[in-house]
Amino acid sequence: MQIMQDSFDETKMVEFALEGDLDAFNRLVLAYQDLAYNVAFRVVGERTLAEDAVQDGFLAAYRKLKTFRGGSFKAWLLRIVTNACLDELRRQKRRPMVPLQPYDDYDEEIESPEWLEDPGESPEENLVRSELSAAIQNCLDDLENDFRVVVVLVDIQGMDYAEAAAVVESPLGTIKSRLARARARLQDCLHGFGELLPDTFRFEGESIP
Amino acid sequence: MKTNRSPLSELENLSAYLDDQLQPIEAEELRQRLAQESELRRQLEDLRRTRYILRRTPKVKRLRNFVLSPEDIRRQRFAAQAMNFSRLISAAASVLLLVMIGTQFLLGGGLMAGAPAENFSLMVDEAADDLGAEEPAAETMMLESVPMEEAAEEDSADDSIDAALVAEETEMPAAEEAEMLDDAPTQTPELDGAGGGPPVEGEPPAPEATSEAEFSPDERSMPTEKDTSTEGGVGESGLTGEEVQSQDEVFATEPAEPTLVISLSPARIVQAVLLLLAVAGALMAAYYRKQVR
Repeated sequence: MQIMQDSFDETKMVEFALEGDLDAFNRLVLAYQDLAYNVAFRVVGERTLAEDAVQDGFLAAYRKLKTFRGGSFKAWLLRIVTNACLDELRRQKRRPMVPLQPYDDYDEEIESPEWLEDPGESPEENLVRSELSAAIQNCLDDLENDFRVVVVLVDIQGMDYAEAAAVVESPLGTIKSRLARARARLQDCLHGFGELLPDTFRFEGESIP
Repeated sequence: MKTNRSPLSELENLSAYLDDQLQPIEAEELRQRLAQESELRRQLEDLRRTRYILRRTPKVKRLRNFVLSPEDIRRQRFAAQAMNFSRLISAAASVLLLVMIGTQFLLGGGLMAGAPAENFSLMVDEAADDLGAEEPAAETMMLESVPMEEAAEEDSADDSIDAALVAEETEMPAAEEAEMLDDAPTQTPELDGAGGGPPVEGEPPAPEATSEAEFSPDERSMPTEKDTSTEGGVGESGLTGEEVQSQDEVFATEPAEPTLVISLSPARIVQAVLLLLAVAGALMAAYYRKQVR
């Protein structure tokens, strides 16, 4: 098929997908699924919920593709995925929370879940990563949804203010304000973890680069 | 641990300054302040470290792929169509139901005015639920027509069957009257002579008998006899024990008898079907909406 032979061209893929080409849309899915999943995971704070939200998000994106009016496809797609995350969170309010740390077949807590593992790391590095990830997630979970989404997009995913504003469909001033307040809240929360954080991440530690 | 913090606007400026998102003039002003104020520098440093930590948040690995299959798309399309259809059915049924009720209300001068006897039977059912057996008179007063028609047709055998059914629905009156039935044959001879003696224990409330007499005087002579047998004592009636028992059995069935009437008028059936359709449609739409997500 011609699409598969071409190099990845987002605009073309969107055009083909608009004509009903599911393969073209799936090329877009492959390009953005890691980003979408990481955003979803940090917003909803739980793996299976994040998977549901991403799946729902991609299905909704395919269904609503005709409403895409150009601009950043990434921002448009992430808007749909973050909305799916917020829907999941609303539904989750009516259901009991699943713990972040999973348990094995013997009800022992798995300290280093496989979705956080990096094969290139030593066990110690992996543990540090896992603890840091859990500490950050713990603090993120305490934020209001609007603040959490912005800080995940800007600080964790590295988007600029304009891109984040496009995702959440809010003015730049709103992004600036939400981000500042989210950072202040996270700062207080991460302070609480103190020595549980690796040396370079402690607030009393050496100055950061 | 909470740190001393500047007002929100200053916090926003520090945060934006960190990201190079301030206007040049604002950034220059802040830079000058930072050079002079150590507390502001410390706050900026804390924000910088927070951002540093967040930027190093470990990435999570996907454990599955999210590519869509044609089956996913088909399923979603079917669910979307089913949801729209269910919504349509629900909306149409709701509108028809409202039109029916509205028409009945407008043409009939009100819901109750044009309604046949079954409307009253429904009300009785509700009243019985609400009031239980505490106010049997209220039930009786609302049921003028139904007992008259039915009572004329039914024989005493039916009454005894109904009495058993009524006992299930109206516990208090039935219990009291059953007590009376037990007592009546043995007490009557004694009370005959006592005429006008003290009221019998466990007699039903007076208003019930009164209302019965008011609302169905032409169909039976029973209510009058019942009045005398319950209010003034059995002796006043001049009836034998057997007669009193027979009359009391009939009396015992009366208050709840209309509750057994099942209303099956065509309009009522259509309304019930429409209501069911509206509810079922809404439930189905909610279900398919979940599938569409």
